[in-house]
Amino acid sequence: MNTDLTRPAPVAPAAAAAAVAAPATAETPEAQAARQVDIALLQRFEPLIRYNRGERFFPIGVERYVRESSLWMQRPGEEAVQLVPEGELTVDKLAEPRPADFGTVYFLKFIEPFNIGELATYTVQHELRQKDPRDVFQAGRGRLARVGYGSRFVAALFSVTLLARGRVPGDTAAAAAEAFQRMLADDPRHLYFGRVVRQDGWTALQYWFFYPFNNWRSGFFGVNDHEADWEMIYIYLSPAAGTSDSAGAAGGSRQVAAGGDLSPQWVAYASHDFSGDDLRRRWDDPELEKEGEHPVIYAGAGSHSSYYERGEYLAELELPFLSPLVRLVDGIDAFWRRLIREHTIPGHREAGAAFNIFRIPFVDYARGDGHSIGPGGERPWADPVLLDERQSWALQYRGLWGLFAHDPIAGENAPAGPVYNPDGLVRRSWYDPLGWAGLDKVPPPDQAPARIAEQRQLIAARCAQLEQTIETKSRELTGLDLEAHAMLGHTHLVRHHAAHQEKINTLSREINQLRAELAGDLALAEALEAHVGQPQTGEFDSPRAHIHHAAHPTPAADLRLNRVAEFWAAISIGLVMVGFVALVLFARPYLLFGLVGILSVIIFIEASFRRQLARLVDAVTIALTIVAALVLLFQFFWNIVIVAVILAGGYIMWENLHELRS
Amino acid sequence: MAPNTRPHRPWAVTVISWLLLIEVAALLLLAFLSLGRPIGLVFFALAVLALVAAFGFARVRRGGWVNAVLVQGGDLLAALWLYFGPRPMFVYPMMLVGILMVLYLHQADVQSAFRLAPGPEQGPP
Repeated sequence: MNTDLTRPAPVAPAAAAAAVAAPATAETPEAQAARQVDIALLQRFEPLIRYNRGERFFPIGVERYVRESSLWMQRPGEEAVQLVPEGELTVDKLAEPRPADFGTVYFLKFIEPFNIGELATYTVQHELRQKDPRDVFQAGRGRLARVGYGSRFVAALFSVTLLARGRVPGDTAAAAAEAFQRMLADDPRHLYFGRVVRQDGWTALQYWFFYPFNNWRSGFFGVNDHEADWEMIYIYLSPAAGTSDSAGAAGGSRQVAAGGDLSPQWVAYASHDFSGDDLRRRWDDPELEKEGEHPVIYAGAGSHSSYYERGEYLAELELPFLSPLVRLVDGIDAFWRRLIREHTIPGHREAGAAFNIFRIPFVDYARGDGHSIGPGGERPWADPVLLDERQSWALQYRGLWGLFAHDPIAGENAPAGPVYNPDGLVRRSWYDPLGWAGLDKVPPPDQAPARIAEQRQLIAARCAQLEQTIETKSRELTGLDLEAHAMLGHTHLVRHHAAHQEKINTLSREINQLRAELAGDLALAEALEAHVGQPQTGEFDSPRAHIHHAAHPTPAADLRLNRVAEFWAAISIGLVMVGFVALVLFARPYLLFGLVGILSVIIFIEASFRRQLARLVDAVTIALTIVAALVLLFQFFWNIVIVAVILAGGYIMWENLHELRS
Repeated sequence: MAPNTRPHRPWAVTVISWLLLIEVAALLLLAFLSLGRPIGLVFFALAVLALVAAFGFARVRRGGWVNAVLVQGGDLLAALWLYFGPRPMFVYPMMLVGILMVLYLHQADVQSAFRLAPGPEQGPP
């Protein structure tokens, strides 16, 4: 692993923490040159971000945001204490060390919510000001029907309990949007934070985007709102195949570092719902859209989450108190699939998460029909900020970058910065860029032939050793067999003969196992030999072979739900509540039965709108099958045991007789 | 010559089609025996659905598989309803048949035949 001490590098978490604590020293000309090289490399592949219509927050620097924020400390069981008031906080002050007791949370507070008058004024002004259609969001048809009752109920619950929960209220988003417009008026630049990490022959470019606010819930019917939002992607480069001697080694030449011989192989967009292999896409994957050498990100409206394809994604929220039920349903589903050995089509390993009635669906809009930032986009990127030891705010401040809302689901708490998790520990994406995207097992293409040759040598050595062992043991075996034969007819050697026979059997099994191992190794060596000739792209099969689960936008057919479905979705939750009240008032003795009936209708309609009716029928039938099986087991336990024994006995007899006859 | 687009029909699919037809006969018999009672109507409706499912199944239509599962679901529901009520003796064979049919319908080769078969919802938009 290459570790360049002039930059933050991929090291173990403890070492990473030590590295971030190192004081800044005077910069040498070489370090300055290295910095310029890294910035040039970042700019060469910087992404183009396409936003959804109505997006209000775009990536900016952090200085102004921090200046407009106050710093707070929250000790367990105590009221939050303001440490630095708004207007006095700077990024340098943020970086000051602040020891604290276990459980203490540091956080920023960016914005105070509007009162009703301010909100009304802002809304009117905003509506009058809006001329550009890219600033206006329209949910479009089918949203209500697609997300169903669950998310609408949870959204209503959020709204009702906002004040009680002390979380960021919806009008905070309006105040934040106004503050953001003021910031942009003073400094209209959009920038990102970058980092170049060299690890195991790979050069990883990390891009961080800072948004002052996430208004997914209040602006786009999503899951949460929170102050501050950090989003990240990686681009993985390697020297072109055949240049490993000069470029692939750790600390390769500066020319290579400048990107002259480097070519992009993989990208990985951070996502809350995916990890490891599922995060990354190969550069030649058709799903990855590019503008020249610049990958395109489709940002979720308000959530700013990164997607490879434009479209509308169904995100699912798992409420903590429903987690046991979610796991139970997933477990039953997995058991059933194993039981029936459900058919899978070869080459189609990707699959979405199984439909689970206890997960709450929300739509994440990433249509890419709004503003765009980056090469080929409507607005350019300003010069990036390199996340190195000079950015002490990133490396030293472990707190949250916005309001700590005491949200048990954590969706409404602000995130921590680019280096740390909310608990203050270093992010894996920071200290292990390859492992984070599952790339640590993939050699860079330029090193792949050498690695294959190494593996073949290892296998060849193992085969030679196995052959020698087999030969030795075979001699021993034949010797033992000769001895055993020689003992025949000598009655006083009966015990020796039995011991010999046991040794022969054991040795024979051992040799058999060794030969099987040898055959496997020889087959592996042949496969590796064939592998050498394949394209040098890091992985040698389909660009999507490594993906187990991938997010895909909702198919166009699902977006074309008819008006009746949408109308029903709009009124149905109200009708259900009226039905409940009617049951209480007029049919209280049948309340339980009626509630079951209403719930059944809800589940039936939900499944219809989500095009899961066939699956629902299947799931209900399977449940009935299990109940019926338990009933039969309960009623006829001993009969079943007897029949099973008779059948087993009959089968064994039939097998034996069949063998005798043949 | 136009390519043969008829989906392949595995042996198990043919067997299940015949079993569904036998189930139709059994359900009609139960409907006849339960004449004048609401459950008789249920059995009759299930028999009609089973007949539709049998033909859909034989033609390897995706809807045929769903209908066949629906018939078994209805069969099991009726059996369980009767078990927790008057509990006639025929509920046990009903349950057994339902369980075996559900297991058979979920066999990999049966499912794959219907998953690969072109259904109306899989055509071009």
